[in-house]
Formats: sequence, structure tokens, C-alpha cells
Amino acid sequence: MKLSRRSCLAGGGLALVGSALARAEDADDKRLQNRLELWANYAKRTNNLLARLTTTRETSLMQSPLVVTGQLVFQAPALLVLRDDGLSGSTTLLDGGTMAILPNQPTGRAGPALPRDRWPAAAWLADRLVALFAPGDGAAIVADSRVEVPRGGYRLDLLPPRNSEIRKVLRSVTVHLDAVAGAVTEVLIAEAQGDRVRLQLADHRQNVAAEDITRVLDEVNALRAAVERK
Amino acid sequence: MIGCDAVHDGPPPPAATDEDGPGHALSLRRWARRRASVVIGLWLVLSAAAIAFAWIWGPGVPIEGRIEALLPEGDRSATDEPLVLLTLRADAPADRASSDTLLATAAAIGDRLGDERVPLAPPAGEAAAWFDAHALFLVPDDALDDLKVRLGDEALSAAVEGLRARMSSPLFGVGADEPRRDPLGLRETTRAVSGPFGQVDSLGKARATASGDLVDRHGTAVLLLLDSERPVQAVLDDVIAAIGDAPVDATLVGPVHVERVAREVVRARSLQVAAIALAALAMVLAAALRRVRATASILACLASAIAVVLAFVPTIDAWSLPMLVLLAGFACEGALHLQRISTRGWPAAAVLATALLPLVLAPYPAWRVWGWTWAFGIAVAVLLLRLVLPAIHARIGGEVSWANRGFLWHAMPVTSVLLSGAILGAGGWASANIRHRGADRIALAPIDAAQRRLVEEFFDPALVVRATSTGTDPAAALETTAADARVLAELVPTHASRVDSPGSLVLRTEEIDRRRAALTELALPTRMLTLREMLESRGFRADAFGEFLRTARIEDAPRAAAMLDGPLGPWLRRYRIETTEGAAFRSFVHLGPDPEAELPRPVAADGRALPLRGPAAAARRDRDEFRDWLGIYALCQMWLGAFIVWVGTRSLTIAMSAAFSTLVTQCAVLVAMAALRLPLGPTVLPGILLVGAAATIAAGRACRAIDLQRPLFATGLIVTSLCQVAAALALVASDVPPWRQLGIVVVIGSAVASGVGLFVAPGLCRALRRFARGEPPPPADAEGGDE
Repeated sequence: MKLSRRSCLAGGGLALVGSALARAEDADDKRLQNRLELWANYAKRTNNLLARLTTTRETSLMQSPLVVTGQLVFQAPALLVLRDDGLSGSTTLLDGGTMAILPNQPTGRAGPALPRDRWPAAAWLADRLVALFAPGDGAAIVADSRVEVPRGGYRLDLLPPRNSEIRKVLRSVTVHLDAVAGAVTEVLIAEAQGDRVRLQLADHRQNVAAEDITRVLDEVNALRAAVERK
Repeated sequence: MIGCDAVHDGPPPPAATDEDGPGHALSLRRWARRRASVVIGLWLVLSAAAIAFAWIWGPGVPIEGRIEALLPEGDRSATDEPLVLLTLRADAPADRASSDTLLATAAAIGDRLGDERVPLAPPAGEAAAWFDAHALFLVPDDALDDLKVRLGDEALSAAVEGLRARMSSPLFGVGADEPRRDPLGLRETTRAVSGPFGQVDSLGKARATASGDLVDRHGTAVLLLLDSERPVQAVLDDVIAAIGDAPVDATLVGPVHVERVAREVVRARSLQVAAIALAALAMVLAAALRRVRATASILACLASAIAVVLAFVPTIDAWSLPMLVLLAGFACEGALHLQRISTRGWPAAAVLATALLPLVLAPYPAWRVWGWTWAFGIAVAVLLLRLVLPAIHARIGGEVSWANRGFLWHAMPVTSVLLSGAILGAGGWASANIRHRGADRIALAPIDAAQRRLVEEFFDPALVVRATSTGTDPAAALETTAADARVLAELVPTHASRVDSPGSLVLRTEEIDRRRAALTELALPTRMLTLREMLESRGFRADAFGEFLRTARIEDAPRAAAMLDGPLGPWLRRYRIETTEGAAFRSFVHLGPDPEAELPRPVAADGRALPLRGPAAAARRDRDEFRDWLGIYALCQMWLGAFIVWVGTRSLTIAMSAAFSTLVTQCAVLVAMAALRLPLGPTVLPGILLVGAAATIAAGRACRAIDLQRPLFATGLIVTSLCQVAAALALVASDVPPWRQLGIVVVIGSAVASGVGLFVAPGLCRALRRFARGEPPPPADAEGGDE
């Protein structure tokens, strides 16, 4: 069989591109493994977690970004509370199948109910947020997601599946990790309607005394009971 | 038990009957024997003509499903509105396996079919825009008080503070909050109205797409409604062509699909059931007659009788097929030379022919037709068997006669009375406790996956009933629909799960004036100004809420004319129907799933009845009256049978015994059905009446024989019963649920009928005679030969 020079060049080019793509995929996988290992180094020791939280929402509804400070409370296996400081804020409760936004003001009006089957994007986001602080190997973080691992920095981009209903509401969730400890330092949520929510975490306190967690959870439970009574 | 003296009961030898004697001035059989060639020739010509008329020259005998033929015309599902379910193929490539592919395919189908695709729900965008523009007019009256409270200064402030508080949550933008459209959460008060119209939850768990189709909650199935006068298959072909190479499957679902499946089942099973019935009858006749020629002749006569009936039956469908099979089994009665109830031997045929006549009074169109068709079929079969069969035997021999054979039976009145009393009591208990099964939701084949998905993910078409509102013109009709929709909405949630009416989105002129006056009192423009100031003082951009702030305008009202001419106009095609008296719109009420629930009977504001029409409505109406009407049908048949026996015998005692035996048999069947957990309903109604007729005949024969102190040939009665059982067994073997239930009823009933005829009727007759005259009947006279 006689091969032309053009055929040989084309074949060689394709082989090079193929191997380059394969190497790129390998590199992506390796970077993802590295990030998840870094994250797991911190998360695997988490029985509970307290951290200072600064939430910034950039939205066209407001004249300037909304900035609220608060506290993040996590208790293994899957209880996450994002509690704003002061009565003018709110508390976000993610507990197993429960998703709720409770007003810190006991007399305030609770937001609409969020059943998981009606709001798949909220459920997807809640699952990611809980998984980011729960001990594990990281599989729960990347499940049902497309993951991109940028070269620079210690971050993960989690994207909803292509053409999914979630994608129509939520563009991406970007997770920043501490380069040394592996703790989550920032979560940036990009919504499809244009809002961006930045959750910045600081002063991580891992495995604090149970009463510190219980105190916060008691407040949340009291708030929840007040809202339900209302 | 009953004592008996054997006269002789061996294999039946061919013998001349007493009818051949000079005592009978006119006898069909004798006449046929004398002119055998003419009769056979005429039979062959008529049979050929019937076959030619039915299959060659005539329109043929089309096979259809007609699964809803037991429902009144007005309650049947629309046959020209097929539902098509689009689903992703299992092997769809990952980058195309999404709801976007389904929606693009639905759009392509819409482009190809044009007006033949009807929006199933109001297009999401248009409906939302309409609702947003008129929300304050459309909320219920009692929501206005709540609205007034929510527009107070304190409530406005709390709402804005709450909105700001929730915005810090990461779930705020991905959940149920719609701050731009509804910062005050007013939709909580309007959800009862907005729900059915595509805001969030249009139908069941599904939601409306931008073009008015429905997509399930997972985004993996889209439901389209088509409306075409073309054959369904032609429309489906167009749908498949529009899909092209997209990885999407289109499946017909809903009532049209159930009908197609039924037609296929009838087509596939008709030959099988007929063959089984023929084989079973041949086996019974061969075993009883032990003559090949006699068996073959009877089967040929039955086949030609069925051919004649088919020439007059418009279609073979889910109901006519089992009736034709039973007709063959019951018509064998005329072929067997059994003892006569009367001298001339016509009462048995008359009782059998009139067995289904009471169904002429029934609200089941298919059975009404069969009330007469059965009589015609029996008449044809009996005539052929009494004319052609003797003629054939005269030519080829093989005749069998059971004349002067049998046992001398001794009736036992006490046992009979006690037994029948016990059965009647048990029957009364059974009739009150047996489960009812309506004529809706009948399927000849198991529900397939697509149909199940329709019910689980979208809605159950079998539960959808219609209410019609009329007017002189479309706008007037829509205004009437608006008034009626408010009445229908009161059925939710007690009787219905949902009301789907275009009237819920419009108001009558007087309602608009009244509501406008009420809204004026709320001083909406001032309140909106206050809200704007509050939003700005809390750091919000008030212009971002412009969509909501604009809803406070009360100049633009939801008028019928505006909807007809507006972007929702095309959607109204689904609801609009043509009438001779003007225009009319349908409202769809999704009844609750409990079949035992009461059927609501709404009354419009002007006192007009708003009848609900649809399969579920018809079934529930029928359920409420079925037991009463079953009694009426049974009494009619009992009276007819007893009257015929009385005319034939001139004996009131025999007639009453036959009537009691009919009732006892039917009660025994009800008890057996209750024991077997078989439901009672219109599908088995002919079976109950037919076994009643079989009991009347068996009782008449037995009582006559006992009365005349002549030998009773029990084998003959049992063979008659076995022929009926054989035909019914073909239905039982068909594995088609409604046929099997009918077959089981006839199998049980026919067996019981012969038993009642032999063991109960003679005793009842003797007891009645003792009660009436205190002495046994006179000895036998010369009448009463074989039939």
C-alpha cells in the first residue's frame, strides 16, 4: 500500500492532537484529584464546624450589593446552617431533605416552601453546599455536575449538567479552597438571571465543643418552631 | 335428594319423534323433511348471500374496539383529540438527551401540523402576562380582605424587610421567590386561581411550555394535544416525520390509544376466540350426540346463523364479539331435541330470544342494540336449526332423538323451598356487598408504560369530565363560562382535584364593575407609591419591581372579548365547541380518583344545572342507580319468561316456578361473584340475564315433565348447559378481562341454571301446587314432545 505525504502528515497530526487531548484530560483529572485530596484533608476531620460568614449578593434589585455577615454552622453528617447576624437577616437551613429560609425576626414572614422535587436547582445547590463541609472523598461534590479545574488557584468550578432544568436557573458554583489547609474559603454562586452570591468564610473552627453548636441549633429550632406556629 | 326411576339413558339411537305423527297439523320439521332439497338449497343461497353482503359486496364487517360503547354518546371521550407523548430514546446521545431536544421536537411538530396541534395549557408566557395584568381582578372575593391587610403600611414594611432578609440566602434566587413579579408574596392568595393556568403547576405535576404543551417535572417527557379530522394514523405519521432524526419517541396515549389497543385486541383475538368456541361446542355436541353428521350439521347451521347476524351487525367490536360467541352457545338449545315446555315447542326459543330485551331500557348503547340483535340472532338460529337441520338429516341421516328417554323424577318441595330460600337470602346479601365496576376505565389489554406515565406524570384522562357553557356569541359564551367556572371551582378539593376552564381567567361585565369598585377602595395607586418609597429607602431599585407595580392598574380588566382577541385566543380552541345555537365553551373538571366518591351535581348561579359529562361521570351516575336497575332488568326478564311459559303451558304454577328458578339462579350467580371477588357492572349484565333465561327454560322443562309425570331427560338439560358453558369458556380462555368476567358469569350461571332446573324447580312447582290446591297435579296427557 502506498501512502502519500499528505496522508502521512494528516495522520501524524491527528495522532499528535489525539495524544495532546488525552494528556489534557489526564492533566484535568489529576488536577481535580489534587483539589479533592486537598479538600478532603480538611473535611475528613470535620465532625462539626463553625465559621464566620460574609454573604454578598450582587443583584439588579438593589442599588448596591447586599452585604451581610453571619455564621456558618455545620454538623456531620448533613446539617448546614447559614445564620445572618441580627434580626434583619435570615437563616438558611439545610438538613437532609429540608431546605428553608427562616427570617431571623420571629414575627417575620417565612419565605415560600421549598420542596426538593419542585425546585431541582435549589436541591442541587443545597446538596453541593452540604457536601462541601461534610466528611467524604468528594464524590458528593462532583456528583451530577460538570467539573472544571482552572490551572491557577485552588478552586473548583461546579456546573449543572448540560441542558438540564437546573442549568436554566443556576450557571455555576465556584469553590475556593485554602491552599494549605484545604478548608473552603469562598463559594461563588452565579445565577442564570444575573445575580451573583459570594459566601466568604473565615475563622474556621473545626470540631468545637458540642454546646457551641447546640446553642446555635437551639436558636434555629426555636426560630423554626416560631415560624411554623405562625 | 330427588329420587328417580330410570327408564333408559343409554347412547341416543336415531328415532322418529312424535312430531312426525298425524297429531300435528303444522310442523316445521316435518315440512322441512318433506322438502329437504328446497330447504337445503335455500339455506345455501341465503348463507352465500349473507356472506357476500357482509364481506364481498357490502361494506364488510369492520373490526373496531368501541371500548366506550357502553357509555352514553355524550359521556364518551373525544375520538378526534389524540394525546401524543414525546419521550427521549434510551440511546439518545448525552448532548441531546435533554428537555431542550423534546421542546425543539414539539415545536417542529407544531410547525408541521399547524392548527391540528392544540395548546393543552395556556402558553406559559401569555398566561403569566394575562394573569399578572389582571391578578387583582381574578383573586377570589375573600382574598380582597387579605389584600387590604397586606397593603397596609406595616405589612408593606414587613414584606420589604422580609424580602431583604431572604436575599442573603443562597437559595433565594433558585427557589420559589419571584421578587420582580411579586415582592409582597400576594401570589399565595392567588395561587388557587393561577395554579390551573400555567403559572407553576398547570396540570398535575407537569408544567406548561411556552407553546402550551406540557412537560413533566423531570423534563423527560412532553405531552401534546392534537385535534384533527384526519385518521389518527395519518396524523401520527406526520408527527413521526416532523421528529426526523431527533432521538425522540412519539407514542399515542389517552383514550384514543386505549381505543386503538382495543381494536387490535379484537382483531387479534376474534379468530382465536371463535375457534376455541367452535372446538368446544364440537366437543360437547360430539360427546353428547355421538354422531359426526349431526354435529357437523349443527355447527354448519350455527355458522350460517352467525353469518346472517354479521350481515346486519355494523361492526365486530369489544362487545359484539363475546355476544356472538355466546349466541352460538345458547343457540345450540334449538338443535337438541329436548323435551318441550308446550305442545308446539316455541316457549324455550321465545324465552331465549327475549332474554336481553330488558336491556332496551338500559343506558348502555351497545347493550340496547344487542337487546334486539340477540332476539334476531336467536330467531335466525332457531329457524335454521328447525328447518335446515331436519332437511339435512333427511338427506344424509345422522339424526338423534331423545324422545321418550330419561328418568321419572320425584320432586322434593321442602328441600327446594329451603334451598331456594337460602340462595335468595345469600343473593340479597351479595347484591348489597358486591363491588361495582363501571363502564369507564375498561381496557382489553394491560396498561402500557406510556399510558402509565401519562397518568402518573400528567393527568388521568379517565377522570376528566366536561361541563358546557353556551352563549349567543363567543364572548357571551365565555362570560357564561366565567360564571360557571366559579361554581365548578367550589368542587375543589372535595369532589375534584382541579378545574381547567378558560372562564377562570375572565370576569363577567357586572363582576368587573363590582370588583373595580372594591379595588378603588383599596387606593392602589397610593399604596404602590408608598411601596416604591419603601423599596428605595431600603436600598432597592424600585424600577426593578416595575412589573409588579404595574399590576396595580385597574383600567385593564379581564374581559371575555379581550381574551378572545388576545394572545390567549388560540389556546381557547381547546375549549370551544360548535353548537347550532351559538357558541359554547367546555370546562374540564378533574374528578378525584376515588371511584366510590359521589358525583357532584353543580348548579349555576342562575339556577341552571351544570351536568358533568365524561366516562367517570357516566360510571358514577350508573353506579348510584345500577343495583336498582339490575333489579328492574331481572324482574322484566323474569316476568317476560314467566309470561311466555304461562302462555305455552297455561299453568300459572309452572310459570311461577320458572320465575322463582330464574331469580334463584341469578342470586346464586351474584353469590358466586361475591365469593370470587368479581365486580358487578354493565359488562356482565347480559351474562346475568342470559343465565336467567337458561334457568327459566330448564325449570319450565323440568316442571312440565314432572307435572305430566313423564320421564325427564336430564342429560338433555345438562348438554344444553354444557353448550353454553363451552361458549363461555372460550371467553374465559381469551385472557381479555371484560370477556373473561362475562365468560365466568355465564359458566357459573349456566351450570347453576341446569342444577336449579333439575333440583329446585320441580320441588318449587310441587310446593306451589300443594299451596294452591292441596293436591298433586292430574296425570300426564299426551302433549309435550321433544323440541
